[in-house]
Amino acid sequence: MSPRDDHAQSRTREGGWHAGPALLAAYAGGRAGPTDSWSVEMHLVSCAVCRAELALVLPARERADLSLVRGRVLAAPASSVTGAGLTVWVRARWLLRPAALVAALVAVLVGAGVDQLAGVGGSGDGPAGGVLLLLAPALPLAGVALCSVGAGDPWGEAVLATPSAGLRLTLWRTLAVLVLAVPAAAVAGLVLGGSGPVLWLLPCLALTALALAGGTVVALERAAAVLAGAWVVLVASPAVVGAGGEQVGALRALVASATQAQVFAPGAQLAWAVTVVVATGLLVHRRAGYEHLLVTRQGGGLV
Amino acid sequence: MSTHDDSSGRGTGAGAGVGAGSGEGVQVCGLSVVLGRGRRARRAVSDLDLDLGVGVHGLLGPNGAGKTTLMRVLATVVPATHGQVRMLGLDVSEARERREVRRRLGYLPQTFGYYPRFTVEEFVTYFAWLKEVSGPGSGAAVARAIERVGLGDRAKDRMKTLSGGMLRRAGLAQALVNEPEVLLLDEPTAGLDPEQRLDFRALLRELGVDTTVVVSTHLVEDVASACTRVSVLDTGRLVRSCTREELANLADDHSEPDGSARPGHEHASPIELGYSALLRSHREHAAELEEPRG
Repeated sequence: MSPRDDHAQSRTREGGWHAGPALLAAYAGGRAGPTDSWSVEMHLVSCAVCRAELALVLPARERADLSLVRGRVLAAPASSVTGAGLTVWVRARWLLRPAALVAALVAVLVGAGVDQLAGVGGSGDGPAGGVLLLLAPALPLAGVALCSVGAGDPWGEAVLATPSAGLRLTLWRTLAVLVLAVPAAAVAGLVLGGSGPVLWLLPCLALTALALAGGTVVALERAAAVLAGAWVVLVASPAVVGAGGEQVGALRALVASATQAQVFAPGAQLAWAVTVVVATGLLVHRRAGYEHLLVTRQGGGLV
Repeated sequence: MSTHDDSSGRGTGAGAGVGAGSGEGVQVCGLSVVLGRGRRARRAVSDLDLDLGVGVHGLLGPNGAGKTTLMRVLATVVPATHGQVRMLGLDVSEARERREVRRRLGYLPQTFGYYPRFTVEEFVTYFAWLKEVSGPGSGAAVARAIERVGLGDRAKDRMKTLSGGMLRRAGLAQALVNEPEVLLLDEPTAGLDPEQRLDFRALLRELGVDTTVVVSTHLVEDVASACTRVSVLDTGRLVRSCTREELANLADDHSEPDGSARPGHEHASPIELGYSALLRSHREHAAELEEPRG
């Protein structure tokens, strides 16, 4: 205790300072000067002993009022936002984009349905495979297009400025589409009596890898759309031209041409395999393309 | 008076970090950005130096001055064609360092749409996830960001029901959710009504206490009320980097010889006058440089 001044802070045995009772009483009564008030407040923040002392020197009514206010502040929700936070389900939904998965599944079902109705595919007298066979390699393209992180996203620019942006997120979403679409198409093909994924797996992977590689140059959606269009032209145009208008005939001819088509021939399979490797190499080499906006390459009018 | 002394005196050796902002904030050295390729190639930013530490910095300039391109480079979404950009002491051209910068960055782009099915809360939570704000604190971080922009009562509303000003505030919440050390806001006051604008400027001043805030704007009032420093850009070049007061003082240097204001400028604020005087002298200077070449 300092004998000189009641207002002074007292030194404890541990060497720390505590506010004396007189100083606390002056502070509680609003009689302490600005400098003293300031230092007492600074000290109170870190000292539970003095906070307890202060409570004792307060008039009973003020103590009751303050305790009421404290209770209310603590009882009130900190925010009207509940902030459910990041549940596992929410994370999975954002990582995998269920819409892309649903789109791929719907495409499989539609392909299988058309095969069934038209009597093409393995079960009919037509050649094995059917529309599903034609559709299967291009299926992931639809999913990949929906996976895009960037161009088609209204908040793409802000998303790009986050650490999760770039190829990683797109790859996760693409992988999810592949893991779902490939088995679904394979099962559907087998159920319908077709030949399973042996014929179309390599073209499927090649188109996916090409789309992702293309995504480093143009928007991923655009790359996927161009490839899907090229695929349709590749497998369908000779048959449609040859059938001359009659719809089921055109479909059968289309399926026939596709099954015997060069695109599934052993030689072509080798080419698809090479394409997978080359496109993957390109993708790895140019992966920085997923890190930035495409305006620099498209010469967009944005300044 | 030279309009270039400020920029040439600073910004050298940004690799080592210069000025007060060493190791934090933003250092730009000799930045040029060319957009497009071949015949459509256009230089949006030319040989620009900047060194920004903690505080609110205004990027002021007419439309087409290169403000948005500069903001995009700082946001790491457009690469520098030439020159070096260091943020928080890290080199953004290195993938690993860029990722670390992105963790500590907040960015509100000039243009954006909305995810129609997302609520405000889901939207901000989505960005918390993208920014790797994880763990039990993420819910509180989201709530805090939404409260800070004054959208607490609309947190459960779908984004398609929000007005333009509210959408921009939701965008601001997204930028704030990771408590960024560098906050980049591109034309953030567009679409806000006058009262919201005042609230927003108060928030800016609060953020500027411990954050490097860069605000691009063409509104001089934004600079006058919220920014401590101003960098004026024109045609992709840095015209001048100075304090708000220095910009206002320029008005006196450029008034008519008899001390009166220029015709039509009688009601302009000192900062507006300083800004327009600065642009005028920069353009005259640039025209003088052009002439000998024909």
